[in-house]
Amino acid sequence: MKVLLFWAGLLALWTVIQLVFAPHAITVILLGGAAVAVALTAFVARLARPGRRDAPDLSPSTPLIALGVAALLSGSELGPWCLALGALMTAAGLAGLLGER
Amino acid sequence: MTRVMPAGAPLLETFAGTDHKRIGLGVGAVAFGFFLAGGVLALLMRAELAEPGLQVVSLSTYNALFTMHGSTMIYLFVTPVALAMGLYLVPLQVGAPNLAGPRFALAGMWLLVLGGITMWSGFLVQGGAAQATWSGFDPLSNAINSPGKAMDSWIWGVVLATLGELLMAACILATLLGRRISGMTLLRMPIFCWAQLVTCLMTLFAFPVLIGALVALWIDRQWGGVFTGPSGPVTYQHLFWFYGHPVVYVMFFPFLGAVAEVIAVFCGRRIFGYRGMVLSLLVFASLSMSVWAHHMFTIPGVTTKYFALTSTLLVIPAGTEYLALLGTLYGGRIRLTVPMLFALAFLLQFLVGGLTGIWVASPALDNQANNSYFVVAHFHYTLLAGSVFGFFAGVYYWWPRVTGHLLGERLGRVHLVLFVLGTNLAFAPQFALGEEGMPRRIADYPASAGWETLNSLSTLGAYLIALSVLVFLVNALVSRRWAGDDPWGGHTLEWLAWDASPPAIRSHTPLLDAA
Repeated sequence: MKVLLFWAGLLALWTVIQLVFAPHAITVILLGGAAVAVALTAFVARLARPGRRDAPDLSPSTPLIALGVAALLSGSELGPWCLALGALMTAAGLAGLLGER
Repeated sequence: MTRVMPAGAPLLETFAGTDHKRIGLGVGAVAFGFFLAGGVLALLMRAELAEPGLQVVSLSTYNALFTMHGSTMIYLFVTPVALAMGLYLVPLQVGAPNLAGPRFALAGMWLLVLGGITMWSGFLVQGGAAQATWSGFDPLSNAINSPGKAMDSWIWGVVLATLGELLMAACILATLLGRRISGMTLLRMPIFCWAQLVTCLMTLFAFPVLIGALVALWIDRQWGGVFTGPSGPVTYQHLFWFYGHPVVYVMFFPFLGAVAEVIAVFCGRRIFGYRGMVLSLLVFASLSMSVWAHHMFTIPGVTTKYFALTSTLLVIPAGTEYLALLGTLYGGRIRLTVPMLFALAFLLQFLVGGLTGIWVASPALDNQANNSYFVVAHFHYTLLAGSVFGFFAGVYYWWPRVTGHLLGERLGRVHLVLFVLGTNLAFAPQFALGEEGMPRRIADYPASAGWETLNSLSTLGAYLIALSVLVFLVNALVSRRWAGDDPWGGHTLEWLAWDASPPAIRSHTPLLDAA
């Protein structure tokens, strides 16, 4: 994960250089926040162990969840019926995902 | 060999299969479909601009056309197709049996499809599709200036597509970092994999800001109170461009990686200065995260000196990469195949976009060029003349690996010539139009302005590009020459057997720098 830490260091360097130019808070927060996020990802990736199970060849639940999420978001425009349908599809997809081997 | 719709296979395998090749090909096919759709919108715009007056579309339709053209090309074509190449090739190149977390990648593909449908559904509602540009700037995109559901459809469409791209990038990065076959150290990875690695880093750490900004915009449209006050629109721009500049490189690095692979193979050499190129990619990607406010030079209060400095510094890693590619060409046994010709065209065409980028990186010069057709020409030279040439170099190169067939050389050369002519005819006049003061995003201009000839040439160029793409499609349909296992003498693992073993890596390391 050294490559992630190296990249976080580069982002941190550009953030520090930015401070010389009396920047707005938002620009420091955005770039500095990205540097911190990359460094945190490096640490999490170092702690994470590789998955032991391979994914199944077919995963019909996955597109169902994607459809559900899209319906939930579109439901904010199309109305409660779409929200309900989205929630149902997402729940069904998640349940199906748990059963997939 | 994988087909998007395998003959005789159940639909389920196509729509829910978790094999990385199937997902990569699916994403690529969907993205290419959006490329064609976005291209039709561009042709309508160019038809309108060919002469003064409104002949083809109304003003509001024109606004919808340029908004949806930009949105389609960036959110639904170039970014996804760049990741699609990674989804297909990265596991093969690092010797992994599949992506890490392929179900996330599958979900990403579906979110992209649904995001595209949601975005384009704006054409079906009253008043037409979104009209607030591909960047959705506030206050143009707020509830007062962009009422109706089309803008909301655009917001959720972009959110869904971007979420999908995030998932795909996470899978590619996890594969690169955690699924490499034994012996494949990071510094033995092909340059294409490094290009994908930095692409995924930018995607993962810049794209979430866009999602946050658009959710905030939607909340602002419903209830207000988010981007209010004089600083509200500037805050939106900071958030948007923190995504909006890295995405330019997300749409560039994978194709640069493809071009590097093509040049190395067709010169019969290892990449010159491999380690320098890897370092320059990492520096380039980090710098590209720190230049975003150069899109805001004309806004008072922006720290122009810092952003001009970082924007100009981009020349150093970009120059290093050009040096590496030219160094690879120097002394090589060059084979001028169609992929190689596209790669060489990429180098020349992107140079125009890159050099004019130095111009707009200067606050003083940018003030002159801002909001003019100069900017339109600049970014089309980087995105179309750069990325799409690199994309086609990769397509012609890896087509045999994907389909088992070679694309026709003759039709490929016709495609290339038309594409080069069309690109330069379409976009070089736009530099002159910008110099003469033609603003971007206008459907009409006065006859007295004297812009008709240049605009007509630009329109002709756009139709030549369309013709070149048609030639490519014909080539893809009619070319059936069997390619064999490794028609080009490729250096990387995707040309070997699927279950490549460590000795196979060792047998290919002479063409890579030793770790």
